[in-house]
Amino acid sequence: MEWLCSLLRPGAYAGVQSRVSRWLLTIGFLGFLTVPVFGWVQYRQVQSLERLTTQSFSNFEWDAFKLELRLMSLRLALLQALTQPQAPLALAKASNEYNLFAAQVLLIDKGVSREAMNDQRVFQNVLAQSLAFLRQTDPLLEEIGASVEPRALQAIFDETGGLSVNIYHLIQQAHDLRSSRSVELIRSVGRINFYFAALSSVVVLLGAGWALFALRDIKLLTRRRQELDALYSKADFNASHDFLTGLANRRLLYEQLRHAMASSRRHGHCGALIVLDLDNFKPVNDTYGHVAGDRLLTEAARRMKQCVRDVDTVARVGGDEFVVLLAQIDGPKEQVLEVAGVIALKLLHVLAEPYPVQIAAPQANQQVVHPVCTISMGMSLFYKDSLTVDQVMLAADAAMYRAKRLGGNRVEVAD
Amino acid sequence: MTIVGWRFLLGCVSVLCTVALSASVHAQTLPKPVGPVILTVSGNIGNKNSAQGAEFDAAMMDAMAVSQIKTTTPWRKGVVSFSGPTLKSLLKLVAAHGQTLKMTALDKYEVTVPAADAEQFNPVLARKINGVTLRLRDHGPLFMVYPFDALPALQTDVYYGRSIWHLAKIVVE
Repeated sequence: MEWLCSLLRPGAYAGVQSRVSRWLLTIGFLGFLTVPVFGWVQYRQVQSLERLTTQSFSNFEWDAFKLELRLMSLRLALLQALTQPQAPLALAKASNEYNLFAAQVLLIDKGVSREAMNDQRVFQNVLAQSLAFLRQTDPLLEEIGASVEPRALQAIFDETGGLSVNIYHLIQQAHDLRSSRSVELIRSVGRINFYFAALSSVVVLLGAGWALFALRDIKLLTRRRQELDALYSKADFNASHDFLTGLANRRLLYEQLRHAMASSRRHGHCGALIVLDLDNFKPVNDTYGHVAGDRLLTEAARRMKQCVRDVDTVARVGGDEFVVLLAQIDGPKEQVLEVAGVIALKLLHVLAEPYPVQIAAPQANQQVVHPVCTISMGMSLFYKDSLTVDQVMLAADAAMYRAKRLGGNRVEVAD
Repeated sequence: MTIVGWRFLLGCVSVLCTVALSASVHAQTLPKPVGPVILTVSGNIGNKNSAQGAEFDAAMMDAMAVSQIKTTTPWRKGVVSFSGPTLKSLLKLVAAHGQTLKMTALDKYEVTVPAADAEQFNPVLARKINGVTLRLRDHGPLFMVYPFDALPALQTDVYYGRSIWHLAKIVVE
């Protein structure tokens, strides 16, 4: 019992609960704090994904493409100038194309798009090579002055071949870099999402487990309380009822009698108290044994219960001594005795029937005997008078002894 | 004479002057280009100096009133000063009437610019950057620039695309 008491002591969970609620509060607060962080991460993800995974060329790629295009135009113009040296405008056109190429090189050199490729070796190589090419070629092609030697023109043309290949590599490199950065970003975003998913699943699992255990605890506590309630009510019943027959005991009877008399004084109705004693219980008990006697008593109690209303009290006050309290008998006072008499005669009749009792016999395993047990009854009425509970009991008792003296199996009414 | 009389006379003189000036603007004919032609404006224009339309050499462009835009761009590091005639003044000079301007660059780049941009944003046809006259390799001879820093709404690919360099031809439609 101690463990039950300690479990249900009011302060038993106080420490645990306060610690638990503090933890819950902390976790909830931290969770609340993560909401904007989570939102920010999601926003950044969407932004970056939109920007970086879209399959369009970056600014630098466009610039590199234009550079390659300008170089191809320059090569074409140079080729024409080489093959048709007598054409007057060929050299001017080559110079023009050369200057456009130079403009594109300087655009990349001075512009902001190069920041995407600044730390790439290919880019640095191409830039250095292009600027060197410009330095070398400027005296010949920036302005059209004296005629240019075909050999020098050929050298320039050869130079542009190597440059073209390198610029092509640069374009490839820029393209690969953008792709690899996109892939890396997608991977990292996926990883972050995985962490978030894992974290939230852990939180969900923890919460579910928590709720499960809380439910189990609540269920356990409810069961314990029900058990305790049952224990209390059973103890209460045991304290006021006879163990063998389940009838009221003397304590409950006195309680009910006091109630009934107070009620009769207040409302002006009658009541009756009948004391019953089994006439020949002792011989039955002696002949067939205690077990048979107990069964007879139980059966007698059952019959008595059947003879009266639910509101009436049937009590066992001694070994074979019973009391029936008819708490409230309606009707005029003159008829009360008659009504109570009817019930008494009914009791007399019913209880005088033989009792089928199973006993253990030496030869056979089971044997049924039918002993007969008559009763003596003393009846005492109470109506709005100043009698005490004890006086009513004593009067009924005296009437019962008178009935016993007169031979039993009868009802005597107190004066 | 009374004061009222003087005022009346002044008013008459100013009106006459205005009429004479506007007549002179209308009557003004563009000079023929002397040096190499760097810009040809054609299409729906009132003032022409050749069969193609209005042709400008470097000296004619430099003779026009100079405006300046200081701004950052994606093509140069830091704040750069672009100076040259405004598109608005050029269109006024050639008496252009049209909704769109088809601009073509020496490197075959083409872009269509609404004529309203000239009034609304007042872009500059830059002849110089930081005081240095633009060569072909500096995106010259003409580089149209919008005031990107003054109007941040212009910092989009649309207006970056309209900022044409190596500008050589404008067709007013």
